[in-house]
Amino acid sequence: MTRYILIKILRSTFTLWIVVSAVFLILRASGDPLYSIFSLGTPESTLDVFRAKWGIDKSIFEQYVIYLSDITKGDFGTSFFDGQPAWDLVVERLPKTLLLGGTTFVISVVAGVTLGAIAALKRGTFWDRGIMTAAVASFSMPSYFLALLLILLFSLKLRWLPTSGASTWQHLILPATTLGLTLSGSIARFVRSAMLEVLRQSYMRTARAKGAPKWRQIVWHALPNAAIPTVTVIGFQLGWLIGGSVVIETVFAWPGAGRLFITAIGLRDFAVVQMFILMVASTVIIANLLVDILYGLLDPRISVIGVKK
Amino acid sequence: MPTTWAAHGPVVNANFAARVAYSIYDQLVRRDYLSGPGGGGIELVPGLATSWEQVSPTEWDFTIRQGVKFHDGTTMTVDDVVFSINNTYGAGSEPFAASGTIASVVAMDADTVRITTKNPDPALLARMATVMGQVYPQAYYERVGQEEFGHLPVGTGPYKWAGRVTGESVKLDAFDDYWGDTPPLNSITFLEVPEVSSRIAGLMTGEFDIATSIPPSQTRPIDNDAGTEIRAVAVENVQMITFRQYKEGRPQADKRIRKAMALSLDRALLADKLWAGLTTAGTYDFAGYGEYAIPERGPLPFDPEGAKALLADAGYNGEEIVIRIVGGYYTNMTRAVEASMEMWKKVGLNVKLDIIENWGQMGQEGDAYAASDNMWMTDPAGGMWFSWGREGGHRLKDWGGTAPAEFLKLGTDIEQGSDFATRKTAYGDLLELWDDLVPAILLYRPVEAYGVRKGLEWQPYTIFYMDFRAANFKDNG
Repeated sequence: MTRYILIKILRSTFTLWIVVSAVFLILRASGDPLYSIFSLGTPESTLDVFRAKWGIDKSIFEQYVIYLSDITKGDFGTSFFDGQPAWDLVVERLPKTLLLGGTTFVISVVAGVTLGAIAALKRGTFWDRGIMTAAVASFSMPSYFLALLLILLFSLKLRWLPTSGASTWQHLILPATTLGLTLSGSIARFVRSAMLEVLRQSYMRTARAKGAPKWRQIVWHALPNAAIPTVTVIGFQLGWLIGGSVVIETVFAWPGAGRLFITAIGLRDFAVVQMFILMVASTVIIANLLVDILYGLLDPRISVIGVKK
Repeated sequence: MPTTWAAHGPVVNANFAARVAYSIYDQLVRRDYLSGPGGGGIELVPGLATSWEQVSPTEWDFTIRQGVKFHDGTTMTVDDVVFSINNTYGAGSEPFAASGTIASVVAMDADTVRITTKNPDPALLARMATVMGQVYPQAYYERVGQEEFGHLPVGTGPYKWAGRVTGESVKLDAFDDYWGDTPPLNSITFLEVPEVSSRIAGLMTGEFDIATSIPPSQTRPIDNDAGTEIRAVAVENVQMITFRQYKEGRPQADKRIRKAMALSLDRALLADKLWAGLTTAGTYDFAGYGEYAIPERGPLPFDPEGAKALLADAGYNGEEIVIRIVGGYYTNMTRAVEASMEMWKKVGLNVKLDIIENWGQMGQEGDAYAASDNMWMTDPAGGMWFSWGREGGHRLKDWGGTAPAEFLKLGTDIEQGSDFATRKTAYGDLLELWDDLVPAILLYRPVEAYGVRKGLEWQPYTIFYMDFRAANFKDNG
């Protein structure tokens, strides 16, 4: 178990290094950040002062070595635009992103699992078709468009909810619902497929033959067995919740890390972009690691080294 | 929205920061935007200086207002004024400092500051009505340093810094000890809402009182709503296609081809269609230059036949001319260039559009590029001369190192001219020279459209400042 986790961590570190290096090089190939931050008429002499101050007057290799050395010491660089440490800027925004992501996660898992299970149990009926049509629609529709539709209905027409910002709990409802609907659609589809597979299994027939109540069949026998593929999908979506909320944060003016990322990209604010990518990549990698470990807990037949006992 | 709000420097010169900073700081001399129609007034009135006197061609004495409090409770002194001007000037707050006219700033006594210029500088008052004339407390600035000052700015303006929520908002509170009229609002919250649709929706639901930067194509829902309306102004800016005329052997190196490109564009039509009839074809002759302005000159005409004749004269053989633009940077620019390409095609010009993602990719590629320029101050020594003259920033590159001698001579006459007639003549000649050389095609003045809740008496200005002083704000419910 320990060896397995160590290997996983080593692999994860290697993956992170690849990601960090790629982002480092791509950012520097995408243009000089000075022209994005300063206005057109700024004299070159002024720009040279800032190039030296921010260390981007050095060769890319020198910058790369300094960057890698710094991140091993916990120094993720300083934002060109704000003059603050990139770590502080991203971490300052993180609670809002986590609040949105966490709420979305709860909404999507509860709605997705419930609706997916209902669709499977009512297979071929109006309920099944209705839920699956809605699920396909929800994840096919661009989240940006869905967000505007929800603003139109709940803010402009009904005047129930605010359009943008994050100062009250009401502000959370529309962005979390938009993201949650998108995510719950795909979860519902996976849950339905997994449930249909499980419902055909012999142990389900045994449970029915034993006269177990319907709810017990579903909650005790079907759902836990359908959980493995579902957990895989949900694990993948955890990273998406951090990185994929970028558009929604922009539409709803939600002050999370995603919007900081968009602004930082526009400004070629190297340190902030690198910090954000590092954070998203770490989240995805850690989520996948947790999913692997969860497999073993959910299905004791699967050992942590991935071989059936 | 930036997290630093220092009184000077590139950030405060940016549009979004200027909206907030105008409430935090006052200038030595105040431009009264309400002294003319449409928020474009140019009268210079006392600000933090109560009066001024030109004591010699190069010396100006400013009498400093007494009893003015900074937001930190300290009283403004002449030393703060001297420090602020020197500091802003020294910080390279382009292009005001780049114009390089100030030789020294010294306190003469407890209420007088003398500014000495290197040469006669008839535009000095206009300069002091810009960022150059903002005053901030020396002791606080030196104690906390520039960076911390940028996070917790202190000025003398009607509203003081009350806090910032990263990525969400900046809040200002009324400053009770303000030297001028009592601020009409208890507080102002500037919310960052990047999505236009969300800004419009928030305005219509009453969450916001004012929504900024509404594109002309999306003004209708606001005007159609019973509780809101659009208030738009053509700002003191001109958007342009700038030629890299220094590239020898390229078509744009020939001024006949540059002029043909300008004459073949119906810029009045572009201005009308792209900006919903709210603006006109572009020129460097801003109305804000007051008596110096020469509106009867007008922009270069739409003359496709003249363009064809010039192209034939230049022997243009259909060589491709590449225009680079940063996609989405200037509202309407991509559409303007796309429409222009059809007009160029009609006179035989072969123009290719190259859209890039950001300014960092601009480099020196292409034959021309989209840019914009400001009036900068209410004097013809700003605008074209700031950007294309002796210290004209990166545009020196477009000249190929330096502006033509005649351009420099005329600009210097404007900058240092001792009398109105000399300066006005030089200014007219400079515009004439511009139309002959066509260093850039001046497309139009862009429009800044605000969605405003009806009942608010608030006039947008012809610059990106938002003024919430008593003279320009009243809420009638």
